[in-house]
Amino acid sequence: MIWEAFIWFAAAAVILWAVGAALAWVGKRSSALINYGLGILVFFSYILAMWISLERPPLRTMGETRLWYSFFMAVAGMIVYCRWKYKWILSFSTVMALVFICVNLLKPEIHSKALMPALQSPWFAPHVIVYMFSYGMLGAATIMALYFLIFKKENTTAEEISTADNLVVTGLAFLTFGMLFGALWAQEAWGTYWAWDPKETWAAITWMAYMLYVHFRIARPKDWSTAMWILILAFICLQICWWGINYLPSAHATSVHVY
Amino acid sequence: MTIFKKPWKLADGFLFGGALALLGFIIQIVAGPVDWELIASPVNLILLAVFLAFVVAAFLLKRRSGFFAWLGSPAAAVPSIAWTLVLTIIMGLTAQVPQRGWLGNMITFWPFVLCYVWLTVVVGLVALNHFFRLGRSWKEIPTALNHLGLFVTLVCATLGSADKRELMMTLHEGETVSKAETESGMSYETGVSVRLDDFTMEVYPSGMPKRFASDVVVTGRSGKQTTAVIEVNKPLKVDGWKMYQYGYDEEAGTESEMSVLQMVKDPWLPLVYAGIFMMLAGAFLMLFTGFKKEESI
Repeated sequence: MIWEAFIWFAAAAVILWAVGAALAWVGKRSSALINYGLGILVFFSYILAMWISLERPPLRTMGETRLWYSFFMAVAGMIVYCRWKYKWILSFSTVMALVFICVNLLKPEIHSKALMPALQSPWFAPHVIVYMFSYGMLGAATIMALYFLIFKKENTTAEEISTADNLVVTGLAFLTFGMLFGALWAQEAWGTYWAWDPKETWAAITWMAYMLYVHFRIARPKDWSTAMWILILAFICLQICWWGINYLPSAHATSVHVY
Repeated sequence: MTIFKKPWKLADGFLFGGALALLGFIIQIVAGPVDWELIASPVNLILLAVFLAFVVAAFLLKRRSGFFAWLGSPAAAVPSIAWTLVLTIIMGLTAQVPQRGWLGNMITFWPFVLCYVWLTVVVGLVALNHFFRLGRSWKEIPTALNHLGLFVTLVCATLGSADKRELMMTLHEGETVSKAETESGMSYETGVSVRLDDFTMEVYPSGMPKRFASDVVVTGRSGKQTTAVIEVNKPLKVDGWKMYQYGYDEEAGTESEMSVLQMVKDPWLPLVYAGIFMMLAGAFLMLFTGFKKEESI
């Protein structure tokens, strides 16, 4: 099965990412971008191969969503590096992508061709892909928040904070797409666009937490450290929404989204 | 620090939210949980008119009253989001089963409802603020659309909830049925008669369901006949009803000769969709405008 090939693709991608990240530290920008970009291509070709062999988009199981997350984490890192040239960002995004690759290697989930009827919808792929892209962007924003709070402290510049702002706004726009595509899909699938299913409730919580960040930045532009703490709390909400919910007793009994 | 000294700041907003939650708590004790059935049409139309009038009046009074100026400002946005967030987190951590008491039925819990109303008022005022600034810059458009879209969605989804009908129609192959049942088992004449010609269920080799489909002939009020296949994710629209594949005889499995269709009528849905599409457009445009710092308050 194609799943056995994952470790080889993943290893090749991570090596290319690591080389790219190392080149970024020594200031070799174009070679860093080429290596990192090649890593992304290798990783994406695995996703594509899986898509073809499964005859459906690989988006159904937790393990499959983690694939996309690693992919978009790397993409988000590369976008930030292209745009704002922080030499440390590629290392962080590589580590973050690697964590989720390792989870997939240690906890492989059965990737069967079966797709239950509710998931056979044109909304399925866009709903999950925009969410994973958003999670990647917001993951990169969280990396920045941790970096500012732990390493930079008082030396953090307004320009650096505005990078986090832009990542959040992009992530939040895609979070909005994901949530509303979900609502439109739910309306087509069972006639209710919003039912306060635990996954929906946590999606709303995550959305509001990032809204809190954006509005706090407007209300108190100088108090950036509180804003960074909000960003970290919001990311915890996001993780609960994504997979933590499977471990919440309140959600497990009643959600249609446990998978 | 002086509290409630004008102009109100963030801290005053957090206290205001606390007072609102407390007020909700008192109402909950005195009057019991929110009964959403009571706002069915025409009550919701009256509420809509009153609510819109309040928001517009608050907008017009913002120059004269410090309170209304604050209500549409970031200093009210932050605490209203924070309070709504906290109450929604409580909802997310509590199993939503009405037997569990107030917190098990959060959407009827007064502090929860009042915080959402507060948030909606703030969102409405911010939408108006941005709409009247559209002339200044096109960069106001995404913010105006996001807030107006959210306002319309929240208002119409909430007020419309009591007008929504959800019925179950149980069909056996060969039979024609026009009655459907509510959740509580009340029989209801839908005005649409449905004949089930065939119910099909396909399974994967693993036994997992692959496809459910009902071949039906539907006769609407006008007498017009439609032949259709209703499947999961492929509902049929007739006379304002949407019909969804819902269930089947689970004991018979693939041999089932019975099918359950869900019939939904939601007169407020077009408005909710309008709100959703405004938010989608706003979010899309926000990708180009990025994060914009407002003039400080």
